[in-house]
Amino acid sequence: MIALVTTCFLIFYILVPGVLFRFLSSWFVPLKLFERTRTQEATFAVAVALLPFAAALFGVWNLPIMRHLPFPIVEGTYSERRQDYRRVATLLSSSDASRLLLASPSAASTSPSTSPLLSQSPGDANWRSLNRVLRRQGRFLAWYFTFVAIEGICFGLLAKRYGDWQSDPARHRVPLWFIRTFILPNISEWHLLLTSFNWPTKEKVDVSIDILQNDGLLYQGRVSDYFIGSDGKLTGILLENVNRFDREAFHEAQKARTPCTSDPSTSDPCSSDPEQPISSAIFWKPIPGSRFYIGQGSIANLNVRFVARDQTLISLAEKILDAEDANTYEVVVESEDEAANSQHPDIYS
Amino acid sequence: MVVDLKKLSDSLSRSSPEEDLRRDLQRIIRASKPQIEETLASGKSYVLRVPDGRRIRISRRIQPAEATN
Repeated sequence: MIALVTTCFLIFYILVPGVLFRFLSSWFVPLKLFERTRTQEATFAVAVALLPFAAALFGVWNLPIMRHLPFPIVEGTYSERRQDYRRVATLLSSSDASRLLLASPSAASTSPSTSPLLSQSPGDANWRSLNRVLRRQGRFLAWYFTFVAIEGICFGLLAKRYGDWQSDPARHRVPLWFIRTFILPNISEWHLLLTSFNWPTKEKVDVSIDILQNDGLLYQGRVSDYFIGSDGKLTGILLENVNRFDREAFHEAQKARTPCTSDPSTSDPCSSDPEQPISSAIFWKPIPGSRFYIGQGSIANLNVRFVARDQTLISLAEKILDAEDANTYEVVVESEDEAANSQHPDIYS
Repeated sequence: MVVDLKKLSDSLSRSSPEEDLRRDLQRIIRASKPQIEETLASGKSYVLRVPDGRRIRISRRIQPAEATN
Protein backbone atom coordinates (compact mmCIF):
# COMPACT_ATOMS: atom_id res chain seq x y z
CA MET A 1 0.00 0.00 0.00
CA ILE A 2 2.82 2.41 0.87
CA ALA A 3 4.50 1.66 -2.47
CA LEU A 4 1.24 2.46 -4.27
CA VAL A 5 0.85 5.74 -2.41
CA THR A 6 4.46 6.70 -3.11
CA THR A 7 3.96 5.99 -6.82
CA CYS A 8 0.78 8.09 -6.88
CA PHE A 9 2.59 10.90 -5.09
CA LEU A 10 5.46 10.84 -7.60
CA ILE A 11 3.08 10.77 -10.54
CA PHE A 12 0.70 13.53 -9.42
CA TYR A 13 3.08 15.83 -7.60
CA ILE A 14 6.26 15.55 -9.69
CA LEU A 15 5.84 13.84 -13.05
CA VAL A 16 2.49 15.27 -14.20
CA PRO A 17 3.53 18.89 -13.47
CA GLY A 18 6.77 18.31 -15.42
CA VAL A 19 4.90 16.88 -18.40
CA LEU A 20 2.23 19.60 -18.25
CA PHE A 21 4.87 22.33 -18.15
CA ARG A 22 6.80 20.85 -21.05
CA PHE A 23 3.65 20.35 -23.13
CA LEU A 24 2.37 23.92 -22.67
CA SER A 25 5.69 25.71 -23.09
CA SER A 26 6.33 23.68 -26.24
CA TRP A 27 3.39 25.45 -27.87
CA PHE A 28 5.67 28.48 -28.10
CA VAL A 29 9.24 27.14 -28.07
CA PRO A 30 10.54 23.58 -28.27
CA LEU A 31 12.39 22.72 -25.11
CA LYS A 32 15.68 20.96 -25.08
CA LEU A 33 15.11 17.25 -25.32
CA PHE A 34 17.54 14.63 -24.28
CA GLU A 35 17.37 11.31 -22.57
CA ARG A 36 17.53 12.15 -18.92
CA THR A 37 18.20 9.83 -16.09
CA ARG A 38 15.41 9.43 -13.55
CA THR A 39 17.28 11.74 -11.18
CA GLN A 40 17.65 14.44 -13.86
CA GLU A 41 14.00 14.11 -14.81
CA ALA A 42 12.96 14.40 -11.16
CA THR A 43 15.27 17.39 -10.60
CA PHE A 44 13.80 19.16 -13.63
CA ALA A 45 10.27 18.40 -12.49
CA VAL A 46 10.95 19.59 -8.94
CA ALA A 47 12.57 22.79 -10.18
CA VAL A 48 9.61 23.46 -12.46
CA ALA A 49 7.07 22.62 -9.78
CA LEU A 50 8.57 24.50 -6.87
CA LEU A 51 6.97 27.88 -7.50
CA PRO A 52 3.50 26.59 -8.47
CA PHE A 53 3.57 24.26 -5.45
CA ALA A 54 4.30 27.13 -3.07
CA ALA A 55 1.63 29.31 -4.73
CA ALA A 56 -0.99 26.56 -4.57
CA LEU A 57 -0.14 25.78 -0.95
CA PHE A 58 -0.45 29.43 0.03
CA GLY A 59 -3.69 29.78 -1.91
CA VAL A 60 -5.52 26.75 -0.52
CA TRP A 61 -4.63 27.77 3.00
CA ASN A 62 -5.26 31.51 2.79
CA LEU A 63 -7.22 32.71 -0.22
CA PRO A 64 -11.04 32.64 0.00
CA ILE A 65 -11.92 30.98 -3.32
CA MET A 66 -9.00 28.59 -3.37
CA ARG A 67 -9.78 27.47 0.20
CA HIS A 68 -13.13 26.00 -0.82
CA LEU A 69 -13.17 25.33 -4.54
CA PRO A 70 -13.16 22.89 -6.24
CA PHE A 71 -14.28 19.87 -4.16
CA PRO A 72 -15.81 21.85 -1.29
CA ILE A 73 -15.98 20.27 2.18
CA VAL A 74 -16.88 21.54 5.61
CA GLU A 75 -13.47 22.38 6.97
CA GLY A 76 -13.08 21.41 10.60
CA THR A 77 -10.69 22.70 13.15
CA TYR A 78 -6.96 22.25 12.93
CA SER A 79 -7.06 19.25 15.29
CA GLU A 80 -9.84 17.60 13.24
CA ARG A 81 -7.78 18.02 10.11
CA ARG A 82 -4.81 16.47 11.86
CA GLN A 83 -6.98 13.60 12.97
CA ASP A 84 -8.15 13.04 9.38
CA TYR A 85 -4.60 12.75 8.16
CA ARG A 86 -3.63 10.53 11.10
CA ARG A 87 -6.48 8.14 10.31
CA VAL A 88 -5.56 8.04 6.63
CA ALA A 89 -1.90 7.45 7.51
CA THR A 90 -2.96 4.58 9.76
CA LEU A 91 -5.08 3.18 6.95
CA LEU A 92 -2.26 3.39 4.43
CA SER A 93 0.34 1.90 6.71
CA SER A 94 -1.98 -0.87 7.87
CA SER A 95 -1.50 -4.33 6.47
CA ASP A 96 -5.29 -4.84 6.46
CA ALA A 97 -6.93 -1.52 5.52
CA SER A 98 -10.27 -3.18 4.75
CA ARG A 99 -10.63 -4.23 8.41
CA LEU A 100 -10.28 -0.59 9.50
CA LEU A 101 -12.72 0.65 6.86
CA LEU A 102 -15.35 -1.95 7.70
CA ALA A 103 -14.94 -1.75 11.48
CA SER A 104 -18.30 -1.85 13.34
CA PRO A 105 -19.24 0.31 16.37
CA SER A 106 -18.43 -2.59 18.69
CA ALA A 107 -14.82 -2.34 17.63
CA ALA A 108 -14.75 1.26 18.79
CA SER A 109 -13.35 2.41 22.03
CA THR A 110 -15.50 1.42 25.00
CA SER A 111 -15.04 4.77 26.65
CA PRO A 112 -18.03 7.14 26.11
CA SER A 113 -17.26 9.84 23.65
CA THR A 114 -18.43 13.43 23.77
CA SER A 115 -17.45 14.43 20.24
CA PRO A 116 -19.90 13.67 17.41
CA LEU A 117 -16.93 12.61 15.30
CA LEU A 118 -15.95 10.03 17.82
CA SER A 119 -19.51 8.83 18.39
CA GLN A 120 -19.70 7.27 14.93
CA SER A 121 -18.29 3.86 14.09
CA PRO A 122 -14.53 3.73 13.36
CA GLY A 123 -15.26 2.46 9.87
CA ASP A 124 -17.49 5.47 9.10
CA ALA A 125 -15.00 7.85 10.62
CA ASN A 126 -12.22 6.38 8.52
CA TRP A 127 -14.30 6.67 5.35
CA ARG A 128 -15.17 10.29 6.12
CA SER A 129 -11.54 11.13 6.88
CA LEU A 130 -10.44 9.47 3.65
CA ASN A 131 -13.07 11.41 1.70
CA ARG A 132 -12.03 14.72 3.23
CA VAL A 133 -8.33 14.07 2.66
CA LEU A 134 -8.93 13.08 -0.97
CA ARG A 135 -11.04 16.18 -1.57
CA ARG A 136 -8.40 18.41 0.02
CA GLN A 137 -5.66 16.83 -2.10
CA GLY A 138 -7.83 17.03 -5.20
CA ARG A 139 -8.43 20.72 -4.59
CA PHE A 140 -4.74 21.32 -4.01
CA LEU A 141 -3.77 19.41 -7.16
CA ALA A 142 -6.32 21.32 -9.26
CA TRP A 143 -4.74 24.64 -8.27
CA TYR A 144 -1.24 23.20 -8.43
CA PHE A 145 -1.73 22.03 -12.02
CA THR A 146 -3.34 25.36 -12.91
CA PHE A 147 -0.29 27.24 -11.65
CA VAL A 148 2.06 24.85 -13.46
CA ALA A 149 0.09 25.46 -16.67
CA ILE A 150 0.30 29.24 -16.17
CA GLU A 151 4.03 28.92 -15.51
CA GLY A 152 4.50 26.87 -18.69
CA ILE A 153 2.60 29.39 -20.81
CA CYS A 154 4.49 32.33 -19.28
CA PHE A 155 7.76 30.48 -19.93
CA GLY A 156 6.86 30.02 -23.58
CA LEU A 157 5.60 33.57 -24.04
CA LEU A 158 8.70 35.07 -22.42
CA ALA A 159 10.96 32.92 -24.57
CA LYS A 160 9.06 34.06 -27.67
CA ARG A 161 9.82 37.71 -26.90
CA TYR A 162 13.55 37.06 -26.54
CA GLY A 163 14.44 38.25 -30.04
CA ASP A 164 12.47 41.48 -29.64
CA TRP A 165 13.98 42.27 -26.27
CA GLN A 166 17.47 41.34 -27.34
CA SER A 167 17.42 44.03 -30.00
CA ASP A 168 17.20 46.61 -27.21
CA PRO A 169 19.07 45.07 -24.26
CA ALA A 170 19.44 48.32 -22.31
CA ARG A 171 15.68 48.71 -22.08
CA HIS A 172 14.88 45.10 -21.21
CA ARG A 173 17.72 44.24 -18.88
CA VAL A 174 15.64 42.38 -16.25
CA PRO A 175 13.52 40.18 -18.56
CA LEU A 176 16.60 39.40 -20.63
CA TRP A 177 18.52 38.34 -17.53
CA PHE A 178 15.60 36.13 -16.52
CA ILE A 179 15.30 34.54 -19.95
CA ARG A 180 19.04 34.00 -20.33
CA THR A 181 19.35 32.50 -16.86
CA PHE A 182 16.28 30.31 -16.65
CA ILE A 183 14.74 29.87 -20.07
CA LEU A 184 17.52 29.87 -22.66
CA PRO A 185 19.41 26.88 -21.18
CA ASN A 186 16.25 24.78 -21.57
CA ILE A 187 15.52 25.61 -25.21
CA SER A 188 16.67 23.32 -27.97
CA GLU A 189 19.86 24.61 -29.64
CA TRP A 190 18.35 23.73 -33.02
CA HIS A 191 15.56 26.22 -32.37
CA LEU A 192 18.19 28.96 -32.12
CA LEU A 193 20.01 27.82 -35.23
CA LEU A 194 17.10 26.96 -37.51
CA THR A 195 14.50 29.61 -36.68
CA SER A 196 14.45 33.38 -36.36
CA PHE A 197 14.11 33.01 -32.56
CA ASN A 198 17.17 35.20 -31.96
CA TRP A 199 15.94 38.10 -34.10
CA PRO A 200 13.23 40.69 -33.58
CA THR A 201 9.85 39.73 -35.05
CA LYS A 202 9.58 43.01 -36.98
CA GLU A 203 12.73 42.21 -38.97
CA LYS A 204 11.06 39.09 -40.43
CA VAL A 205 14.31 37.22 -40.73
CA ASP A 206 14.29 33.94 -42.67
CA VAL A 207 16.72 31.08 -42.32
CA SER A 208 18.52 29.99 -45.45
CA ILE A 209 20.64 26.90 -45.24
CA ASP A 210 23.26 25.20 -47.39
CA ILE A 211 23.41 21.48 -46.79
CA LEU A 212 26.35 19.45 -47.99
CA GLN A 213 25.42 15.81 -48.11
CA ASN A 214 27.69 12.85 -47.50
CA ASP A 215 27.54 12.05 -51.22
CA GLY A 216 28.86 15.49 -52.12
CA LEU A 217 25.56 17.01 -53.25
CA LEU A 218 24.98 20.56 -52.14
CA TYR A 219 21.46 21.88 -51.52
CA GLN A 220 20.29 25.32 -50.60
CA GLY A 221 16.86 26.37 -49.39
CA ARG A 222 14.74 28.05 -46.77
CA VAL A 223 14.17 26.14 -43.56
CA SER A 224 10.49 25.33 -43.37
CA ASP A 225 10.65 22.99 -40.37
CA TYR A 226 13.01 20.76 -38.49
CA PHE A 227 12.63 17.58 -36.47
CA ILE A 228 14.26 16.47 -33.27
CA GLY A 229 14.44 12.93 -31.92
CA SER A 230 13.79 11.84 -28.37
CA ASP A 231 17.50 12.11 -27.67
CA GLY A 232 17.54 15.79 -28.67
CA LYS A 233 19.42 15.16 -31.91
CA LEU A 234 18.33 16.61 -35.22
CA THR A 235 16.59 13.97 -37.31
CA GLY A 236 15.84 15.98 -40.43
CA ILE A 237 15.18 19.35 -42.02
CA LEU A 238 12.28 20.32 -44.25
CA LEU A 239 13.26 22.87 -46.88
CA GLU A 240 11.34 25.00 -49.34
CA ASN A 241 12.51 26.83 -52.47
CA VAL A 242 15.34 24.39 -52.85
CA ASN A 243 18.21 24.61 -55.30
CA ARG A 244 20.80 21.96 -56.00
CA PHE A 245 24.30 22.87 -57.00
CA ASP A 246 25.35 21.19 -60.23
CA ARG A 247 28.89 20.47 -59.20
CA GLU A 248 29.73 18.34 -62.25
CA ALA A 249 28.75 21.08 -64.68
CA PHE A 250 30.70 23.58 -62.60
CA HIS A 251 33.83 21.43 -62.73
CA GLU A 252 33.32 20.94 -66.45
CA ALA A 253 33.09 24.69 -66.92
CA GLN A 254 36.24 25.18 -64.88
CA LYS A 255 38.08 22.58 -66.94
CA ALA A 256 36.85 24.18 -70.15
CA ARG A 257 38.66 27.38 -69.23
CA THR A 258 41.82 26.29 -71.03
CA PRO A 259 44.79 28.66 -71.08
CA CYS A 260 44.92 31.01 -74.08
CA THR A 261 47.06 29.95 -76.98
CA SER A 262 49.84 32.22 -78.19
CA ASP A 263 49.19 31.28 -81.83
CA PRO A 264 48.08 34.55 -83.55
CA SER A 265 46.44 32.63 -86.40
CA THR A 266 43.79 31.28 -84.07
CA SER A 267 40.60 33.30 -84.37
CA ASP A 268 39.44 32.52 -80.81
CA PRO A 269 42.58 32.22 -78.70
CA CYS A 270 40.65 31.56 -75.49
CA SER A 271 37.57 29.42 -75.05
CA SER A 272 36.60 31.85 -72.30
CA ASP A 273 38.24 34.73 -70.58
CA PRO A 274 40.62 33.15 -68.04
CA GLU A 275 40.71 36.38 -66.03
CA GLN A 276 36.96 36.23 -65.58
CA PRO A 277 36.02 33.91 -62.66
CA ILE A 278 33.22 31.50 -63.40
CA SER A 279 30.07 32.58 -61.66
CA SER A 280 28.64 29.74 -59.61
CA ALA A 281 25.17 31.29 -59.79
CA ILE A 282 24.17 29.57 -63.03
CA PHE A 283 24.98 26.17 -61.60
CA TRP A 284 22.28 26.36 -58.94
CA LYS A 285 19.35 24.38 -60.34
CA PRO A 286 15.92 24.93 -58.83
CA ILE A 287 14.21 21.76 -57.63
CA PRO A 288 10.50 21.61 -58.41
CA GLY A 289 8.16 20.96 -55.51
CA SER A 290 7.30 22.92 -52.45
CA ARG A 291 8.86 20.79 -49.73
CA PHE A 292 12.15 18.95 -49.66
CA TYR A 293 13.15 16.76 -46.72
CA ILE A 294 16.74 15.94 -45.91
CA GLY A 295 17.37 13.35 -43.22
CA GLN A 296 20.08 13.83 -40.65
CA GLY A 297 21.90 10.68 -41.79
CA SER A 298 22.82 12.21 -45.12
CA ILE A 299 23.89 15.61 -43.78
CA ALA A 300 27.64 16.14 -43.67
CA ASN A 301 27.69 19.87 -43.13
CA LEU A 302 25.35 22.80 -42.55
CA ASN A 303 25.85 26.44 -43.40
CA VAL A 304 23.16 28.52 -41.74
CA ARG A 305 22.44 32.02 -42.97
CA PHE A 306 19.92 34.46 -41.53
CA VAL A 307 18.49 36.49 -44.37
CA ALA A 308 16.76 39.83 -44.33
CA ARG A 309 13.35 40.19 -45.98
CA ASP A 310 12.82 40.97 -49.66
CA GLN A 311 12.12 44.67 -49.12
CA THR A 312 15.48 45.08 -47.40
CA LEU A 313 17.18 43.24 -50.27
CA ILE A 314 15.57 45.56 -52.84
CA SER A 315 16.43 48.76 -51.00
CA LEU A 316 20.01 47.66 -50.36
CA ALA A 317 20.53 46.60 -53.97
CA GLU A 318 19.09 49.88 -55.27
CA LYS A 319 21.24 51.85 -52.86
CA ILE A 320 24.43 50.06 -53.95
CA LEU A 321 23.58 50.29 -57.65
CA ASP A 322 22.55 53.92 -57.43
CA ALA A 323 25.71 54.93 -55.60
CA GLU A 324 26.74 57.01 -58.61
CA ASP A 325 23.62 57.44 -60.72
CA ALA A 326 20.68 58.58 -58.68
CA ASN A 327 17.45 56.65 -59.13
CA THR A 328 18.55 54.85 -62.27
CA TYR A 329 17.96 51.23 -61.43
CA GLU A 330 14.86 49.29 -60.57
CA VAL A 331 15.21 46.08 -58.61
CA VAL A 332 12.61 43.39 -58.05
CA VAL A 333 12.95 40.09 -56.29
CA GLU A 334 12.01 37.22 -58.54
CA SER A 335 9.50 34.73 -57.29
CA GLU A 336 10.73 31.19 -56.92
CA ASP A 337 8.38 30.04 -59.68
CA GLU A 338 9.95 32.45 -62.14
CA ALA A 339 13.38 31.23 -61.17
CA ALA A 340 12.37 27.58 -61.40
CA ASN A 341 10.80 28.02 -64.84
CA SER A 342 13.84 29.70 -66.25
CA GLN A 343 16.39 27.66 -68.15
CA HIS A 344 18.76 30.60 -68.23
CA PRO A 345 18.68 32.09 -64.78
CA ASP A 346 21.35 34.67 -65.33
CA ILE A 347 20.07 36.91 -68.10
CA TYR A 348 16.51 37.50 -69.27
CA SER A 349 15.48 39.53 -72.21
CA MET B 1 25.11 17.73 -28.15
CA VAL B 2 25.48 20.05 -25.18
CA VAL B 3 25.66 23.66 -26.27
CA ASP B 4 25.95 26.81 -24.21
CA LEU B 5 22.87 28.54 -25.55
CA LYS B 6 23.89 31.92 -24.14
CA LYS B 7 27.17 31.86 -26.06
CA LEU B 8 25.41 30.64 -29.18
CA SER B 9 22.83 33.39 -28.93
CA ASP B 10 25.53 36.01 -28.36
CA SER B 11 27.58 34.85 -31.31
CA LEU B 12 24.52 34.89 -33.57
CA SER B 13 23.59 38.36 -32.37
CA ARG B 14 27.02 39.72 -33.22
CA SER B 15 26.17 39.50 -36.91
CA SER B 16 23.33 41.38 -38.53
CA PRO B 17 21.37 39.81 -41.41
CA GLU B 18 21.05 43.23 -43.03
CA GLU B 19 24.75 44.01 -42.72
CA ASP B 20 25.70 40.58 -44.07
CA LEU B 21 23.37 41.09 -47.02
CA ARG B 22 24.80 44.55 -47.69
CA ARG B 23 28.34 43.13 -47.75
CA ASP B 24 27.33 40.27 -50.05
CA LEU B 25 25.49 42.60 -52.41
CA GLN B 26 28.35 45.07 -52.55
CA ARG B 27 30.77 42.28 -53.46
CA ILE B 28 28.52 40.72 -56.10
CA ILE B 29 27.33 43.95 -57.67
CA ARG B 30 30.86 45.36 -57.86
CA ALA B 31 32.09 42.16 -59.46
CA SER B 32 29.34 42.10 -62.06
CA LYS B 33 28.89 45.83 -62.62
CA PRO B 34 30.34 45.75 -66.17
CA GLN B 35 28.03 42.88 -67.17
CA ILE B 36 25.06 44.61 -65.57
CA GLU B 37 25.76 47.83 -67.45
CA GLU B 38 26.34 45.95 -70.68
CA THR B 39 23.09 44.00 -70.35
CA LEU B 40 21.05 47.05 -69.38
CA ALA B 41 22.55 49.06 -72.24
CA SER B 42 21.29 46.44 -74.68
CA GLY B 43 17.76 46.93 -73.37
CA LYS B 44 17.62 43.71 -71.36
CA SER B 45 17.28 43.19 -67.65
CA TYR B 46 19.92 41.48 -65.59
CA VAL B 47 19.18 38.79 -63.05
CA LEU B 48 21.53 38.47 -60.16
CA ARG B 49 21.64 35.60 -57.72
CA VAL B 50 22.11 36.51 -54.08
CA PRO B 51 24.06 34.00 -51.91
CA ASP B 52 20.91 33.05 -50.00
CA GLY B 53 19.35 31.79 -53.25
CA ARG B 54 17.05 34.72 -54.07
CA ARG B 55 17.24 36.26 -57.50
CA ILE B 56 16.86 39.94 -58.18
CA ARG B 57 16.03 41.38 -61.58
CA ILE B 58 17.77 44.67 -62.29
CA SER B 59 16.45 46.96 -64.97
CA ARG B 60 16.63 50.60 -65.93
CA ARG B 61 14.04 52.65 -64.12
CA ILE B 62 11.60 54.19 -66.55
CA GLN B 63 11.61 57.89 -65.78
CA PRO B 64 8.15 59.48 -65.53
CA ALA B 65 8.85 61.78 -68.48
CA GLU B 66 9.87 58.81 -70.65
CA ALA B 67 6.85 56.87 -69.54
CA THR B 68 4.43 59.49 -70.77
CA ASN B 69 6.10 59.67 -74.18
